[in-house]
Amino acid sequence: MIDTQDGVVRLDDAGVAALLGGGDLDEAAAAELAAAGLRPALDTLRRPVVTLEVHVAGSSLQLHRIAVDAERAVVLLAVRPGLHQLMVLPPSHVAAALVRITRTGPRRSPASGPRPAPADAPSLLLSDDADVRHDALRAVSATLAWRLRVAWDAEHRDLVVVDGADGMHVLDEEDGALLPVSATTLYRLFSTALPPEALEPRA
Amino acid sequence: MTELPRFAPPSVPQGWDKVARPPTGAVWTAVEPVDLARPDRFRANLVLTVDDLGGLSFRDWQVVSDEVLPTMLQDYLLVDLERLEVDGLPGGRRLAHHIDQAARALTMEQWFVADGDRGWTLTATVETWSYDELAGELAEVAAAWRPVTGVGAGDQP
Repeated sequence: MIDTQDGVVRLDDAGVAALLGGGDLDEAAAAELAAAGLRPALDTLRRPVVTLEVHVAGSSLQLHRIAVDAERAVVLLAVRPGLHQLMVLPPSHVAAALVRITRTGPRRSPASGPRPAPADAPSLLLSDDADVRHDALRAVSATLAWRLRVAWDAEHRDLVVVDGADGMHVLDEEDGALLPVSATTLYRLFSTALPPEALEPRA
Repeated sequence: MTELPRFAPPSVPQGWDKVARPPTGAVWTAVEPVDLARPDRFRANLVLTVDDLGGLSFRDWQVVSDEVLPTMLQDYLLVDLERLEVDGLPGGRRLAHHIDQAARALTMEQWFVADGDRGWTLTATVETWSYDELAGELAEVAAAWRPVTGVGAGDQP
């Protein structure tokens, strides 16, 4: 299902799979996208320069996707299980989109100090199994965890953050530690998540 | 014309220009030089403003700021807000994202402090893609800014 009524583009899981798949869209979906002026967005989704995936884990596990090329960023926002919203933004707006998706923002007090990270923290925190995920969140005193994966060519880099009453902490996998991190530091990372050639205004 | 209060300006970031006639509402402004290859490009800027607090406490002044900014700036998104000392007095720092009329993504960083009935605010606005590169220098300028104790005989309004 791809629904473009009211200027809002909504998709179900099958709609997302159809957009991200390499094959031809069915006639109705292709017509719906063309009528909404979204053929270029489909090209970006299928031939991105950079892709960003944000898994957000809390009471549920959501996957938000962003495909970026020099012209646009196409966001597939997970609204709730089985429902997604497609949005097209200038690439330079990705930093703000990441702030919203990860719910990064001011916290009442600075994050508490470093603490050890459980072994295999990312897979536990982002587990499909709600019990495993909740146990992992509890173990690090967090109510939310997210992983931003930025991928281009054959490379990728990850940023994993846990968020709770003690503030936000970033995972240092090498040292097995959770380090306090501010919203400003995360924003600086978000603002440099894309390679400059995708972000620089076109001449 | 209303007489400007005496003030101590911040330093001008390396390579930027001080604006001879600051725009209405500002007491001091510095801007990034024009990119001759791309003259339409947004010029990062630093603006000093002063508010008459009219009896508002520091906290109430900032509550008002938090209410007003989203009404003035399109797609305003508060990213960070913290209390910190500015010139030895309780002050703060705010980081936010917004867009301009050309839909350019902008990042605004403010440092603010109240001195009696005067509220001083130093606002940096840069394109978001260049924020990380400029953030360190802007923070240094803000850390060295002395809006309250820096006003001396040589300071010019």
